[in-house]
Amino acid sequence: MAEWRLILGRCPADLCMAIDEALMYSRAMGAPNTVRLYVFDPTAVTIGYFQRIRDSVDLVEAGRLGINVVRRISGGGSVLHDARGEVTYSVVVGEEDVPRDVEDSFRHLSGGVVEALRLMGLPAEFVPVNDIVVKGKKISGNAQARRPGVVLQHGTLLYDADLELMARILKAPKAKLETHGAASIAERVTTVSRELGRPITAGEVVEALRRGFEKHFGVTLVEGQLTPLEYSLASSLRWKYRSNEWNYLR
Amino acid sequence: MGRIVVKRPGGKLLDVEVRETEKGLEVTVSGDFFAFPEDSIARLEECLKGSSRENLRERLGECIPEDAELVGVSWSDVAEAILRAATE
Repeated sequence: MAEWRLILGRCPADLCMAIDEALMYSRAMGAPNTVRLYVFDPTAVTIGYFQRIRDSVDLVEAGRLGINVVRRISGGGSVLHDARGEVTYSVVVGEEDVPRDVEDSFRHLSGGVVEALRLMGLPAEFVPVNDIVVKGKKISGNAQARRPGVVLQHGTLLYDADLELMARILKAPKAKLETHGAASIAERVTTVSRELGRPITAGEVVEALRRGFEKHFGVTLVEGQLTPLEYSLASSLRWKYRSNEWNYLR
Repeated sequence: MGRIVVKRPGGKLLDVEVRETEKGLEVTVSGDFFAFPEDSIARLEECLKGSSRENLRERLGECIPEDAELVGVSWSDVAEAILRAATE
């Protein structure tokens, strides 16, 4: 069975995003396929590459609460990464490892999360373009970035996220909520804990994700670390994710 | 000049703003869609800089990077939203 690298950890938002980008360049230079399972610490918001920061996040409220906002290299929407209720994953693979069609590749790469949720006893399903839902409510959002020969998909898994905080910090455009038939973010989103009706720990979620990815991709995940080159690259890229020039691009 | 927000069922949000400046039109395309390669939106905005209402349709034909792939919206959605925003 093929082996992929597994990297676990916690990181502040700028470093979390810098590592994902560094892994893309590293994969292009021959590094193995890699799965990361990590927690944003402290709690932070990421926004999609094409989003306008002021329309996506209540910057005053985020500032008041000391929550950093960082732009991703991937498209998609804004996300609250709650340090106490959300696990983020990234998968960095060769283009040859995913279906050619982009929408199919979203479904394929989201399969590990769907499998993890099913292993936890939840009837999860992938809903195009990039959502995973349980009983019609979103529990995971997923986003992709691509570089020549490499695909990065990263996404969230809400296990006990503070949905009230999410609704306070993230601005959901009316047009978006209307097409989902929801009046607010809190109505449209759920968590593993809420669906299971019991508390669940980050450790249980990480273990389910690990098993879910292994089962879905038919690989063994072998825990490893960033190489010195990857770490050095990520350390340089951090500055981009700390800069206003990048975060206020739109 | 104006701003148009489009969200088709099952699609992603598209938010287009067209502003009139001394140097002609300036277009901003944003939203929670995906574009591959990611710089295709910035290239479109740059290419449309300095357009006028009169030649906008023609410039769109030249500037839309047909080789780039959008997910969640389409290039025709983008073009239509830009033209609508320019006439608001």
